[in-house]
Amino acid sequence: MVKLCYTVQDPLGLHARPAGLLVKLAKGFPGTTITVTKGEQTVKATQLMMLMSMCIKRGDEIEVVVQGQEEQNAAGAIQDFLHNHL
Amino acid sequence: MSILNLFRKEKCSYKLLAVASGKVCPIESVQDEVFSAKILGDGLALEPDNSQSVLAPASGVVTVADHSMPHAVGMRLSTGMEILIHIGIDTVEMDGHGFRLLAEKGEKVKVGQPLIAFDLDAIRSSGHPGTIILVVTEPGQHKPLFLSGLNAVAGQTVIAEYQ
Repeated sequence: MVKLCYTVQDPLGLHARPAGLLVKLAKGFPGTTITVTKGEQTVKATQLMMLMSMCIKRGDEIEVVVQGQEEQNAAGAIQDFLHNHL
Repeated sequence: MSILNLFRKEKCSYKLLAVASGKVCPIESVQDEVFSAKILGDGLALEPDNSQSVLAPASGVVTVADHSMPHAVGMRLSTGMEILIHIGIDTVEMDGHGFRLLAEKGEKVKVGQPLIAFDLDAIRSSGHPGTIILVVTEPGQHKPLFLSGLNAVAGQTVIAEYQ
């Protein structure tokens, strides 16, 4: 299991575009479960509407947990995603 | 009513109605890859004429409605299908100006009920296309058939059908 903590930097937060890209990325690792937690709410990174309904904004701290067959590769990809898009 | 119409009715029991009036176009034509490449899901684009609001295309529950991002709204339809309606391209940059949410997250809405009021002139004058995009983010058990090329009337014209 890999756990990543990240403080959102993007002024626009997790809106449709980055949320869609995150879902696409997460679906690329079918044997690996990726979850996103903000506060007490945790959703799977493959669930677009759930991700968007978390209203993730700049300054929010989120935790991404990656678990499964390809967790190292997936965690690396998530790390890149967070730095490039969020 | 012809036999063909009866048959159609039986075959496609569910419909999505136009969320605004205007020309319905294939989603592939949208000038934003996250939509045109169907990263969020399959759907349709609509070039609004003088519409001032988007309407619920079917009955359901509002799942995404964030007052800091009032240019988009999500719904779970009563058939289990999940949809996202997004007004304009890159309109997240407008910081909510020109948009007003008319429904709250968790609210049950009926087909044709207004979800977002928007100012098309404000969108265009800030340099953004006003294209409205409807995406089926979770089709569930359904396989919707999208009907593009129509000149749709808000709340009346069928823009997608599914069983």
